[in-house]
Amino acid sequence: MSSQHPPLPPRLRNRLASDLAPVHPRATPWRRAAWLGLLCAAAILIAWIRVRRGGSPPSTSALVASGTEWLAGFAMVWGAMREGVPGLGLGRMRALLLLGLGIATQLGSALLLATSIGERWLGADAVAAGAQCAQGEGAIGLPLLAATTWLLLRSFPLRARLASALAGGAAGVLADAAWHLVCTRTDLLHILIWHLGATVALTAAGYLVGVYLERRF
Amino acid sequence: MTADEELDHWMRSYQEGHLHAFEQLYAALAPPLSRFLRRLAPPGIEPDDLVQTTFLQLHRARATYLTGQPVRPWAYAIARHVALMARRGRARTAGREASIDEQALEIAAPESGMLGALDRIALERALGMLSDPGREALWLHHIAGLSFREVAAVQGIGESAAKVRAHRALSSLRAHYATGGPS
Repeated sequence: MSSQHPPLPPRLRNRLASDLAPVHPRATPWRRAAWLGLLCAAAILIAWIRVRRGGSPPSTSALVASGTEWLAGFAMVWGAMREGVPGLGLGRMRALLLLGLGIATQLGSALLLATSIGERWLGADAVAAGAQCAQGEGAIGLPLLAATTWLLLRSFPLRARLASALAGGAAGVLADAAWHLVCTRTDLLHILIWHLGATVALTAAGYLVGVYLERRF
Repeated sequence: MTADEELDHWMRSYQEGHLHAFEQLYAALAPPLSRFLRRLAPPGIEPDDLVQTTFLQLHRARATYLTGQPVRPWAYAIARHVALMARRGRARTAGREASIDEQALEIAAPESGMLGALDRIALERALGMLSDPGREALWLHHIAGLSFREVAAVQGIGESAAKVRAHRALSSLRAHYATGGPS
């Protein structure tokens, strides 16, 4: 491979020679997603223990919904991490599909809870009483989004807006996986507005972070 | 050692901070990347500048290369991103989408028997008539020698979509020649 090669342009050589420190190859997307997934699993466990101590253990439906959402969120984080490696991304269509699938999973969980143990708490009261749920999900989701953004900053996302929106969606779905063990309300309107709303807001926040990231790459 | 294994070896050495390894990578990747970028470069931007920018971006992204993964799709994906960014920048300043540049019609050295059998200028013109994604897929697979899986990774699409793009582009090219297209 070495005799008729084009010579390295001096300008490029100089630029590189001044910044040629050894680098540690990044962990695979799978391993990076696993760290965040474990972090979130710990949050779910803590939520579950707190709720049990409070004397009202979550129903089986709530646990199933939580586990399903955790899986969906984990897949979304994995997708976002893959987007951070050039040539390893899922592609626009698949990434959008994964994002849609994650949000649909949260919606499906909401429907499962509403049909199995749903209360009929409709109207203005349901809407007004739920702001704390969005705050709770934000409190879990925003650090998750920050952690994912930090991981994306350390990689090289070529479709930064998509990767970051996926990360935001994942943060929302994972936060809901933990929070709906704490929130005892199962009426559909409350879940749609405050829980799904929080996920949509986190996805939008992720997208905006991606706009910033795109300028860096 | 196969070419891919050799590239992987140089890439690992480059990650450890060896300039010599980068020189080897540059030697192996610069010519095909240059030909690839010549087809994607917007008017008014020198493909060689894009090659330099691509290698600077490769340098920034070097930690994201995963050992054992093929190097070429990784490098082509970054090169494609550089070209797309240049196009966007150009379109913003020009206020319109970039059209085919005369420079894109420059004769590239043939890399396979396929090119050698055809009139290269006419082929370049015919390639210029294809859609960008189709031309890219065709070029990456049939000329740069990437597998469809690798083409899909570069373009950020599924493997079957990459096959369809390349197939459609090839069919368009055949139809173009069948109707006496190149004159």
